[in-house]
Amino acid sequence: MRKLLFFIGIMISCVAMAQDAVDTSSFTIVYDYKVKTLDDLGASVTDTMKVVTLVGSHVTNSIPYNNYLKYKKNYPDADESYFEAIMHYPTIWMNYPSNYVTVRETIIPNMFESKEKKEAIKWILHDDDTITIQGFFCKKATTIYAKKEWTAYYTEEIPSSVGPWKLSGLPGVIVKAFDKDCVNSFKIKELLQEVIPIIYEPNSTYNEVQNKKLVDYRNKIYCNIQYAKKPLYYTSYDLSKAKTVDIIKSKNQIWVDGNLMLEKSHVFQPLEY
Amino acid sequence: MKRYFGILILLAFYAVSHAQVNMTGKVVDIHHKPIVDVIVKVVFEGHTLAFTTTTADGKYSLEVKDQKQKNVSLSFSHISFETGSKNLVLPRKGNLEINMVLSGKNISLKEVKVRATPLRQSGDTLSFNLASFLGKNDVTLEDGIKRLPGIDVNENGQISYMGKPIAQFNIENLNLLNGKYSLVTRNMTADNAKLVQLVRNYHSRKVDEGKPSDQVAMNIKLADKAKFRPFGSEDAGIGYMQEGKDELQALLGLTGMLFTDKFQVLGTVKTGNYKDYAISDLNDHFGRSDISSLATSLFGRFGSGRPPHGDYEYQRNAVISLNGIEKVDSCTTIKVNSDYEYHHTLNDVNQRTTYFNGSDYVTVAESSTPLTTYHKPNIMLGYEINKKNLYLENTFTVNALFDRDNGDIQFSSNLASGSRYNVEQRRKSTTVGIKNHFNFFKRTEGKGLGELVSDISFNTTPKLNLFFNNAGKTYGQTAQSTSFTTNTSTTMGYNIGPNVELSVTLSAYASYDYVETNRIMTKEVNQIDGWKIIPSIAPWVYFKSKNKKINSIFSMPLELKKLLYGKYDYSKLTLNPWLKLEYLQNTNNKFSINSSYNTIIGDLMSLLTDSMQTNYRSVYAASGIIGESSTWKSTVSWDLSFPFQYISFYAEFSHDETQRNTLASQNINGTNVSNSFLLTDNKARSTGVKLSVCKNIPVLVSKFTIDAGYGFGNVIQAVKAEQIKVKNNNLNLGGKMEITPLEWIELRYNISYTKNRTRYDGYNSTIESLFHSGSIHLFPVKLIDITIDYDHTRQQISEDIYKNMSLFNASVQYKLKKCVLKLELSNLFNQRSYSYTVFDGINTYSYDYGLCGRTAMMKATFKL
Repeated sequence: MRKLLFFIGIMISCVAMAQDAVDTSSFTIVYDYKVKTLDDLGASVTDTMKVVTLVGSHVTNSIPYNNYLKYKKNYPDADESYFEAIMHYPTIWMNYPSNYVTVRETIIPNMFESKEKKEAIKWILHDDDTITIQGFFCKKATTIYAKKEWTAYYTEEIPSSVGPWKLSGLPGVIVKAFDKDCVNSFKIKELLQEVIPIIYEPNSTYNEVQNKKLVDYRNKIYCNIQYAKKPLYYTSYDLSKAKTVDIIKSKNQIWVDGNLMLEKSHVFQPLEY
Repeated sequence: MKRYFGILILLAFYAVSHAQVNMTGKVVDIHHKPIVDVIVKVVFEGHTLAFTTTTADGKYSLEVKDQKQKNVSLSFSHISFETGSKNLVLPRKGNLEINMVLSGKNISLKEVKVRATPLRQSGDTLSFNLASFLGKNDVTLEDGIKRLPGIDVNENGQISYMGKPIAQFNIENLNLLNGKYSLVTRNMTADNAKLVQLVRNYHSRKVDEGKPSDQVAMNIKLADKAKFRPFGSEDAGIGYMQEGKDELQALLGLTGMLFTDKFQVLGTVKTGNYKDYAISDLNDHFGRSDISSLATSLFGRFGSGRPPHGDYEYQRNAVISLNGIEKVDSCTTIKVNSDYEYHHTLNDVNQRTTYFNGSDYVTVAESSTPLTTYHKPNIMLGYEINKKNLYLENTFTVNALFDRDNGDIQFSSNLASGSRYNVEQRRKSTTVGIKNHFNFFKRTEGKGLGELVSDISFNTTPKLNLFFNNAGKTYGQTAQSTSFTTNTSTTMGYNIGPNVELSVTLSAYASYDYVETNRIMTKEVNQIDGWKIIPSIAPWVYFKSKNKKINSIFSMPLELKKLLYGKYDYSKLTLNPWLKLEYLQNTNNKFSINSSYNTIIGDLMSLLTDSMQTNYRSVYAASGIIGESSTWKSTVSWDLSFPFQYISFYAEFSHDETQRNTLASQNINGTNVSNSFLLTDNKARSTGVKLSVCKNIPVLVSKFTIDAGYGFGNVIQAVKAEQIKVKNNNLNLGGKMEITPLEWIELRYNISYTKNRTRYDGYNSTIESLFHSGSIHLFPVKLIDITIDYDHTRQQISEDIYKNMSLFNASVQYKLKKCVLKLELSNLFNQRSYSYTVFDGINTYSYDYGLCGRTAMMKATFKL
């Protein structure tokens, strides 16, 4: 009887896991995401983190690198965690639900989720402007998206219209993309052929908001000139409600519910307005 | 008519603007299931006229507006399906429906893995991914660090950034080894380090963060495989030295280390008689474990140090070191550093000294074989709390030096041509030192701050003996000294707003010194003790501008210097202001100005008026006058780097002026040298500029460095009480290049040129030297490194005499996963001497060092 219960338990877990997987990736693209910005003292710095695009048959998932390591059941990279905490990169499901874009983001202490209709980006192709990047023959394309000018180099060698963040819709994979003055830039770092489930865990604790409101709220908080100096002031956390508090003594870091409590940060450079 | 014509043109425009083809369709697989995200393109002669992607139901829709192109290709591509295409003749306008069936295929991607970003900048910290800079022949962490932009590692293992030695070396942010960081850089393999971080504008205390700093620190981030598991290396080697006192050369060493988040430990045991093996690991690059006393500073060793190039003819070394650091919490550490050093060395040195004797010159030629042996134990215990508002440190050190020095000499002089004399010289001393450093700093919740610093030290040389035997005539000298010093200071401060901090430091320095010397030949005895007491008050202001670009500290210490040596009572009030000003245009572009005025007064040593025999022919006696020396020193520097272009630039201008009230006068009597002091004001000035540029090209594993410096100045010296103004100029130019033109070859080349000019009293002399060295590394297969290297020196010895010297070495290294085998062939052409000349104002010293002979060494290093 106990064996039967155990078997049923396992089955239920598998079904639950299977329900969370909304697609299966056929390949993975790791991008270096760089942001030229200022630190809390006003000195120029370039922050770098890795973002991963998991390309499924119909859903594309763009996630910070440590989420990818979690999918692969690996330990997180501690150095990467710090930059992920100060660069505020959301998790994005393109085409989930069908023809929608879902974005999840934590702006301490709240968690938000937005769903918006997938918007086709109107790219202008510059077929005569070509370059070889990381061994890929690339063509240039430009657009204005989310009130920012973007330049992308894409390769037709990989016939998929995916890219980093929300940039997509070109006749090939985006190898490199950057906004005006290269403040935000993405460049392909690794391309891996691997099968990983693309997971979307339903979670009622996320506050559903319109994407426009989420963008406005994010920019309002993080673009505040004082934010870099006193991030905890703007993102106060009620520790009495915290489920987990992890203290990493070696790095002098406190993580509350998986969020790093930053004493100082860097000036936020929005990807969208 | 015109109206109809206009309407016709408008209609034509309308027709043209609406000359578009609307294409729609559906893309399905062979099972008629719709395919999403298929890229649908209309291509004409390689140009994409229109494109879109299919929706979730496999449908697409696109418009082709340019009606001129007729023969186009419509392609359907998807990563999981074979590409389908259709050639079409487009009509001028209208609608087309084209469906497509695609068959599946296995995905085969050209996988790409780009090497990790070589450099990351975060504020003042530059993080170098070490693997991106490593060459094929690099084995140790030091080999890797040498490759980094702007960083140099000298022969002793000291690491510098743009010519400035690093102030701290951390491993995973813990300062395990203080200045003896060569223990890790020379014993850890490069693959155990992931990142090398360079922290500019560094403060070891977090309470000082934000204040101006010229210091640079290095932090090593370990690879995952180097954490939480013990590892190390074992060296073993055997070799042969031609004509060596020890023909059989051997080395043996074992090093182990463990690094965890909370605990780090490193231990080593090494011994050998091959070059400076073992002892070079314990070089203290911060000089904090050096030990000396008043007696040892009066009566130094007879040896003239090591040759600038090549190695001692004979040496035996041994070291034992055990170091550990425990991280009690995120801010608190407890540390133990202990080591023992044994050094036994013999050298042949021919020295030719030309003294200016007022009207003529006296030249003394000496041949000596200094044999030096010392034992040096050292233990240090440290406790530190390092928080943003609190700093607490206590460091307790005990060290000792048991020193024995034999300096037998043969000498001759132009005053007695043809005569050569043999002299025995012996020196023996024991010095023991104990010191404790305590530092407490607290920033209160409000705007206040307080600091207490206490240094207590005790050192003693209970007996120092010198013995001379000059042609059967024996004489000697003994000395002993004891010093107890305490220096306590307390600082209280207040922040006036966010940009200004006012503080005042009160300090009390007191030292008790006792010195006794006895010149046996003349029975002249100095025996003196007493106190030096310096209470002081130092107000200081720290200012930073609102935009944080300007930082400055200004202080004006007022000191009462009081000497109480027996009946001698001396007091002097001095003001020693200093200023540090920084303009940070950004993290990579900094201008600094440092200026200070400092008055130093003499001490107990000034009152040792009875003569002392410092070597077989030199006698020294102090003036009996407390000398005063005031120095004004200013430096302007510019530190500029373009980290992502791998370019670093440093420029410095400095000017010093020193005024003294006493002047040492040299007296030559035969070949004997003695001195006297003149009570006269005299000045010395020096001005210099320094430039350094470094550029890396990581793709080619290449690094280029250029250094230049020029200085000039003048100083007053005295001979037989007659003052002489000595002017000097010096120029040095240097360049370094490492380049990997092909995958199987690496070239290194260094060149340096120096020129020194001295002028006094109608005398004008210039000494030049040109040094260049190079090496060729060949990698016939991946694991083998064949190296040929050479050092060539062209040294000017006197006006018309130049001496050329070349040292050639070769080695073959075979690098396996767990072991590195290396055959070293040193000094292939058996060059046995190295010569050079230096000026010391009016005197000229020419040295000719004996070098070790041709040597072969087979060495194996095992990774543990």
